[in-house]
Order: sequence, then C-alpha cells, then structure tokens
Amino acid sequence: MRKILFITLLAITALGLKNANAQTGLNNNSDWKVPVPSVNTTAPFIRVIVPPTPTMPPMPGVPAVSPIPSLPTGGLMPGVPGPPSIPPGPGANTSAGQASQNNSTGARANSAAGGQQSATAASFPDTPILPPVPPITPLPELRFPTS
Amino acid sequence: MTISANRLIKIGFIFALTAILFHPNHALSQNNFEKGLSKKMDSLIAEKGHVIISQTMLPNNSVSSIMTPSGWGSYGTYAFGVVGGVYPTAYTNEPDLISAFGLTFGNPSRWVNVSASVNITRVSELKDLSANLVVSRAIFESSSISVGGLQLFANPDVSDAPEGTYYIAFSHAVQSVESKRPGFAALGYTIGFGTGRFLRKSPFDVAAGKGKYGTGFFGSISYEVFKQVNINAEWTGLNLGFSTGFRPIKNSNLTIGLGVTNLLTNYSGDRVGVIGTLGLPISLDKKQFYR
Repeated sequence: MRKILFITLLAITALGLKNANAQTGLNNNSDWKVPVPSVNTTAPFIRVIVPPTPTMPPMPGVPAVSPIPSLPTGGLMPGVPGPPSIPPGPGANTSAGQASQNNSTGARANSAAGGQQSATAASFPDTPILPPVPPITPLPELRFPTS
Repeated sequence: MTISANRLIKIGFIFALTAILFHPNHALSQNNFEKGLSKKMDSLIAEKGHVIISQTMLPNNSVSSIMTPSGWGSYGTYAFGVVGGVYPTAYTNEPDLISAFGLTFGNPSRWVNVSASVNITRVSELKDLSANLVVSRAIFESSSISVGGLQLFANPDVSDAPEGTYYIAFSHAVQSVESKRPGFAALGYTIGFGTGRFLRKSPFDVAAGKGKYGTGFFGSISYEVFKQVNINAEWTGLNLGFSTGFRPIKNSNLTIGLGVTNLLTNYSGDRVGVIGTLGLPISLDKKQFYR
C-alpha cells in the first residue's frame, strides 16, 4: 500500500512539473547537469560478517607449541641414542656382590630396597606337585538322549 | 457397580494428562526459551531482505553520491525507479529533472550484476528517452568496479547532449570504520573516469573561456555521521559538490539525496545548484542468502 501511494505521488509530481524540462537549457548540455540516474540497491540487505578463525592466544603456564623441526639434510632421521649403561651396584667389585648379581632377582630386590647387601643366597621352597586329578566318572542319567 | 474416589481421581488424572499431550500449545514450559532464541538467531531469518554472508563489510545503505556513479552493484533482482533534479540548471534560472526506471539482476560476487534502465530526461513531456547499461563486479576484498554507459542512444533532435557517457568506476568500503548498522562500513569512496558528462563542459563554459574539457576523472567520498545518514563530497569531473543521503522510512528501501553542486564556478557553470534524488528499489525475488 505504501509503495502504491509513493508511486502515485511520484507520478502526479512528475506530471505536474511543467517547467522542468531539458529545453530550458537547450544547447547547454543540460541533460548532463542532472543527477546520475542510478539507485542504491545495497539497501535491502542484512549483512552477516563471518570473521576468520582467530589464533588461540598463549595460555599462561602452557608452553607454546613449537613447529615440527624439519628433517636434516638427506631426509634421514637422526639416530636414536642407545640406552645408558647400567651402573654397577654398590658391591659390584666384591665377590659377594658378584655372587648376589649372578644369583637371583630376590637378591636384586634386596639391593633395590636399599638394604645392606648380604652374602647369603636366597633359597626358594620346592614347587609342590599336585597329585593327578582322577577322571570324572560319567553319569548316565545326565546324557542327552540319542536319536 | 461402585467406583471408589481414589480410582476416580486416577482416571481423571489420566484424562487430563491425555488432553494436555494433545494440546501442546498450552505447554508453556519452553516459551521463554523459545522466545529468547527467536530474538537472537531466528531474528536473522525473520528479518526482511536478503542476507549476505561474507568476511567483509559493504558500504552502508544510504545515498553516497548524487552526481557520480558508484562501483557497487546490487545483489539479486530489483525493479527500481529514480527521480533526480537540479535547481537552477547552469546558465538558466529553471529547474531540470531526470527520471529512470529499470531492472537490475545478478550476483556481483560470483558473476556480475547488470543494471539496465531507461531515462526520461524531459520529465514533464515524457520524452527525450535514453538508456543506461551498467555491469558491476566485486573484486578484491570489500571493493567493486563497474563499467557502463549512461544516457545512451539519445535522440539528437530532442536532447541537447545526445552523446553517450561511458565510464569505469572503482569503489571501496573502508573496513576499519564500521557503520551504526552492523555489517556495513561507514566510510567509502569511489574513483573513476568517464567521457561525456564527466569530460565535456557546456558550450556556455567554452564561450565564457572556461575551457572545453573537464578532468574526466570523478570521485566521491562518503561518511555516515548518523545511522543511515551520510555526508558526501564528490568531484563530478567538472565541478565540486556536497550532499547528504538518508533513508527516511524505517524498513523501507526508499532513499533520498540532497545537496549542492557547481561550487567552483570559475571552473565550470555560473551558479551553485541544489540537487536532489529520490530512489526506490523493489525486490522481485524471494529471500535469498548470498555468499
């Protein structure tokens, strides 16, 4: 309704302006002295700005992730260093110490516990041998019936 | 058969529960949440007009120049009408009008936007017809160019300036100055070069010893001082002008521009003129999302 009213008023106004014509400025390039006949049509839009994903700010206490180092020349990975050699135990130079090292893990456990290395050898009890299990006697009353 | 009161209460409760389940409009528990959601995300969908999704801002939506064209094109299909006028015209004491009606279509971000219209330069007599054809394309970030012709194919027996005007214009929306309307830029400018109305001075200027040609280069700069109210300065190729543009009706695409031109009368023209323009684009397609 508003548009129709506007167009109607516009038409009445345009037709009513008798003095507004190019002939008043004949040979004056008057056709160029009027506004550019264009209209702004960006008006009806709603603009949604999608900002680019921001970079994550550094967090306190968390070290920044360093970039992945490039491989050395030749594309070969650096060699992995071997494991460090196990230092000898406190009593490694003594005969008792050697005996304890050659003996068993029980002695190592004692050494790791920080106790004084003793010269006694650990002895374990013999593994008991269970008697053989007797076979289960079949129970005829539990058998499935044969077809 | 007798029914105990306890059983009656249970049956009534089940009936009431069934009735509520079949009438979810009365389930009010989610209304506040849904209203809040509608005010935020759904308001975008419910709002009138097209939606452009991008990472840059367009120029704001008021008139940014009156006597010079812009590099921006429209998104979508529109029928538009525009009436412009000047009072007084140079070297006369009379006003002069021009009107145009046309069609614009296309997406300048993906392809091009084309604007074609017909001018009626002698408005009171509905004659002195000519044509405009402009092609626009968005380039770079928040910039656009347009190439076109204005007032083409005018009848030399009727028009006092039958030569067509051809131009190229570049416009940019400054991203660091945001408009009062979210998503738009408050500051923008246009530079361009053209023939015809941007280059050739009036025969009266030539007779007055002001030269035959202007610069041919034109430009404008526009800044939004209030919401949807711009102030503009423009060099028309022949003279300097200032104007303001605004949208008087909320939720309407009607645009109005008012200003003055021919401020440098030593360069061209003989008096300052008041200029005005009235434009209305009408969308012809349904709500669309542009990227």
